[in-house]
Amino acid sequence: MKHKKSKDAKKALIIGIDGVPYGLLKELIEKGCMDGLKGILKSGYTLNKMKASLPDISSVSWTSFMTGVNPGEHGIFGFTELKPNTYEISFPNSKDIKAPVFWKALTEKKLIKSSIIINIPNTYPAFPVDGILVSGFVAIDFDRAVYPSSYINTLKNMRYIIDVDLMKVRQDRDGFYKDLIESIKKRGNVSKWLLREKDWDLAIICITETDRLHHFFFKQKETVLFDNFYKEVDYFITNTYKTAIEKYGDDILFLILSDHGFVDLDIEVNINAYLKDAGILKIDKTKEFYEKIDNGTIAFAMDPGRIYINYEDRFPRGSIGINESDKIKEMLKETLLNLKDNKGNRIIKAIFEKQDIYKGKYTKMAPDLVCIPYNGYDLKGNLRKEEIFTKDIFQGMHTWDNAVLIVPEKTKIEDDINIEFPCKIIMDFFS
Amino acid sequence: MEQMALPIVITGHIDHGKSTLIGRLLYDTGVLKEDRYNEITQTSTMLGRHTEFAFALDALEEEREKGITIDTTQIYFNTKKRRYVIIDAPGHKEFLKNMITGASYAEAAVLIIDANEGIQEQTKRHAYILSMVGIKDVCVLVNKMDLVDYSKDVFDKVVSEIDGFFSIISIKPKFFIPISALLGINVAKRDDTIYWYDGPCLFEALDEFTFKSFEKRPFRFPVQDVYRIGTEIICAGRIESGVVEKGMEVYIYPGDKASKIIEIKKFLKDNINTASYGESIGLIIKDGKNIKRGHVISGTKDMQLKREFDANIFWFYGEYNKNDKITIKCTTQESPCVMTIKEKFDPATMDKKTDTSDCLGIGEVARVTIKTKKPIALDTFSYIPEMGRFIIEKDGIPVGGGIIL
Amino acid sequence: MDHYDMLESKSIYIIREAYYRFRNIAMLWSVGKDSTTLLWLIRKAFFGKIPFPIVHIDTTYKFPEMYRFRDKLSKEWGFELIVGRNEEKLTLGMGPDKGMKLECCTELKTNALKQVIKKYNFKAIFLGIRRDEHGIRAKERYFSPRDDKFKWDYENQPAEIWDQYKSFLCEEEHYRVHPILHFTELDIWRYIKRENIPIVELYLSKEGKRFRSIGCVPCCSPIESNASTIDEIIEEIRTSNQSERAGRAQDKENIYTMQKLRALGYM
Repeated sequence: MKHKKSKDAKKALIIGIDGVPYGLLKELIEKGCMDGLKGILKSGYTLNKMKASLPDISSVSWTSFMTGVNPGEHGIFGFTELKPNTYEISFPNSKDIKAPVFWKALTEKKLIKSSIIINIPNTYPAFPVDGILVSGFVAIDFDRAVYPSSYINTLKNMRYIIDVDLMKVRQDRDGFYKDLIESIKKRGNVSKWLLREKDWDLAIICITETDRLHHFFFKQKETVLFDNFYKEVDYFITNTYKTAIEKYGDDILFLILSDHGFVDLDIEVNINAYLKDAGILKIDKTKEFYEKIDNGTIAFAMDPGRIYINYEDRFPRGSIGINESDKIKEMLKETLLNLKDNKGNRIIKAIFEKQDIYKGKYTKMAPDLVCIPYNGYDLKGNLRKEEIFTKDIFQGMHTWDNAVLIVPEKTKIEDDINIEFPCKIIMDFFS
Repeated sequence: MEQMALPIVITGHIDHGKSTLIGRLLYDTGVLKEDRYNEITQTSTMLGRHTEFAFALDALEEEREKGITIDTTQIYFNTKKRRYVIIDAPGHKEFLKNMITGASYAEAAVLIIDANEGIQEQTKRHAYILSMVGIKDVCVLVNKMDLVDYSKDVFDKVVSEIDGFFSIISIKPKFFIPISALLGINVAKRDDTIYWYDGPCLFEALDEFTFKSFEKRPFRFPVQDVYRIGTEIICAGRIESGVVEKGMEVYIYPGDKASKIIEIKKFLKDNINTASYGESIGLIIKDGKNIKRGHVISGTKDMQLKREFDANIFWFYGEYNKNDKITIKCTTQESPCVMTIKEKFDPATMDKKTDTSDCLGIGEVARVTIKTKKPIALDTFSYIPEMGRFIIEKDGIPVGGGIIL
Repeated sequence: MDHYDMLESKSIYIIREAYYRFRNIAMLWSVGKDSTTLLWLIRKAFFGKIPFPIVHIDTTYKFPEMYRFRDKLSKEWGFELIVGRNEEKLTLGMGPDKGMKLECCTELKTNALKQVIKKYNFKAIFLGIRRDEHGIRAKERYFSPRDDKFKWDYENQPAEIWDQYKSFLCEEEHYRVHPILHFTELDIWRYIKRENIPIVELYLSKEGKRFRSIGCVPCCSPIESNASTIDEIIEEIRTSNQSERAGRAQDKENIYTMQKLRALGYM
């Protein structure tokens, strides 16, 4: 039943597909695994490449999408952070986002009334919205992941889950794969129900199963494993889109985006082990986590390529003065660029300084340097591992420059867009 | 504002979801008191699945390792109508005696059954213990309905099975409720998911249990001790039933000698006119110079003084053999006694045991006749529970408990 | 009967039972708020009298305020005070700075108590411990037998049923009776307020600090607090319980988050 909307009422549907790289998506469409999406594209949409945030991890990238600004303004630089003036680890969540999400501005300006926000990473704990918000990972407590709370029971009864059991993949890869498919289906059901039953002006629905698949199965991307999985993804996209246009007509704004790309992971690089060997990092083994950072440390790394200089006015055991800054940065860059694998290949492709990539009052919280590796080298910031090069069960790693953006064909796309851009499209649409 | 809490016990087979239910209750009423228990370190229970509270109730390392609860703990929560205190009676066979301790404090019981598994041996045993300790207000929860797709057929089947069993032991459960403790369906509030059920949810059912007004029952005061302070002879004890008033006529058992309450004594309080059920006080009675521990001061003349009576007994420790020297303890009275076993029951099957030996082992239930050396002042359990319960001790250790029929 | 009447009545019942069953009994008084509350309850149970000795184990390192309070109260309430000291170890100079603290406690407290029990042949001791003090205490019973080595076999707990308490005695065993097991810390403070029970002034804030628990001077540290009346202490405990819980909840969340991130290859 088509709902009659007033001629001024604008509707927007955004689908997020976490961790889907441009190249892979293009291939899968051409292969014939995603005929639904192919049809949609044909009807007037373009597939574009887009850059993620820096660093290129979900919590940072999606936050940049939600706020439309860079980490220097929204304050999220990683899954892990150190509390100010300490080495104490903290886990930023939705409460730590310093800039408003774009739908808040739209609501305040009365450009939209009701929003359905499902499963965007870094929206936990669930925060108030005119409509409904279900948090994406990392969400510990389901009852704090749903706003308003009146939806909690229904979602539980529909067996909606926020994230699959990640521990399973180590014991039961088949079972894990099945869980991923199940999870997409359930999310699809919930989305369909909400889009159909509730009135909305803005709907954003993300699936994160794609990212999970890529982490653990990426090297099997040529196999039928991926084909079948992406058929499921295609079904999800098509169904959701159909539900939306059946309700509100096909002049809704429709976007699909991913928050970063993926590439084969060949080896893990533990930067702190390298820094330790180079005498740049001093470790106190008797302590825990980042408390291990001992006197005499010049710099240390955090996931996934962030470098922090041990400034004396920033950290308790800091010893670098601000006047040494330039000298230290040069030394660090040189040291890091010199990091090579056992075949003599360089690992670090580029190093950015914070002021080059961040703007805003939270730049002071940012890492001093951000490293981008060559494909295949996954940079790690843990302090546990002693060896520089290690390998675990992960088959894929995030990439910065090949996320996906699907927009209506008449949308003007500049060169070199990044994940702050889609927000502008949406804001423009409603204004 | 504090009010008296209605104590309830939650029983049932070990894996049928007791701990989850308790956790759910506490969570739904905002009470989950983490500061009473050791930290929940079983983070694996939280990953990828709905939060489980089962581990919240273990207070000892060992229990966590064994995965069972050994002992009882006192947990309070509120519904709209009143305050409750949960006694979590554990379900493991080895700890029956502790289980009895839990059951004894409850006024009402919740019996939880896994819809998938139906009635197990432990379920029956616990049901029998409920009847043993005289709990009449029983609410049966058919749990894990989410795992049977909320099927009405499954529910009806379990209900008729338990109903049949309960009628043998003369308990009529007041409610049968389909629930999912894990998902919180029909626990604190009703849920449309189980659309075919229109009875109350657990909280509503609990609120419907009538809390016997203890004040209205006959006055019973077992004397705990007698203190001579100055010239006064004060009987110390706790009011186990009813209300006492200054000047009231009373009877001293054994002997039903008539007397009168001259004074009600409490430290630092004067001119007390009345005291009631549950209070530990002192009484000065007329002609009280021969009164001593073991006597009972009664407000009515209807207490029974017996040296022989029938009882239902539940054995929870060690073994009983015919000529064992045992003692019965009923409030503050005690006496050596002998016990004749009239009929033994297997609490799991409720079959009368054909073995007519005069022995009892752990977990066995029997109808017995008790003959005491000294006369015991008592009420039947159904009349005044506090005066109709007793413990059997052997060599100073409690080994069995029962109720007077 | 309100909540505190109930707690009180149960304690009095237990106290009277223990007194009846064990002829030779005493109460261990630390001069702290819990055992002073217990002392008050004992007075109530016996209508103002305290018919057995009160034992204070004196390490000689206690706060002067505690000694003053002890002597004052024993005179006012008129009870027999036995002060136990491990004289032998004290003359040898035992103290917390000499070796480990645990050793000092063992010698000056535990062994001093053992000596007193032996000397007076007490069959049972009243103690003011509460279930909510920490995990293992939650499993304590009202009547708890200890063997001669002061160990506690928690698995073989005697069943307690319908207030009949195990009174089995053998030569080497003695009993510990815990009449205030069911009081929480907050209950104690509210009861102290309700009954006007005197307490050592160290519990109240002075110059921004107060003691949450008192004992020997070298091993006791105050907390930051401005609670200088009992009402303020009650309020402080109420809100700190909430934040302790919140803090623990946060810790749990952090552990979970870490596990999750590790599973994805981070950290």
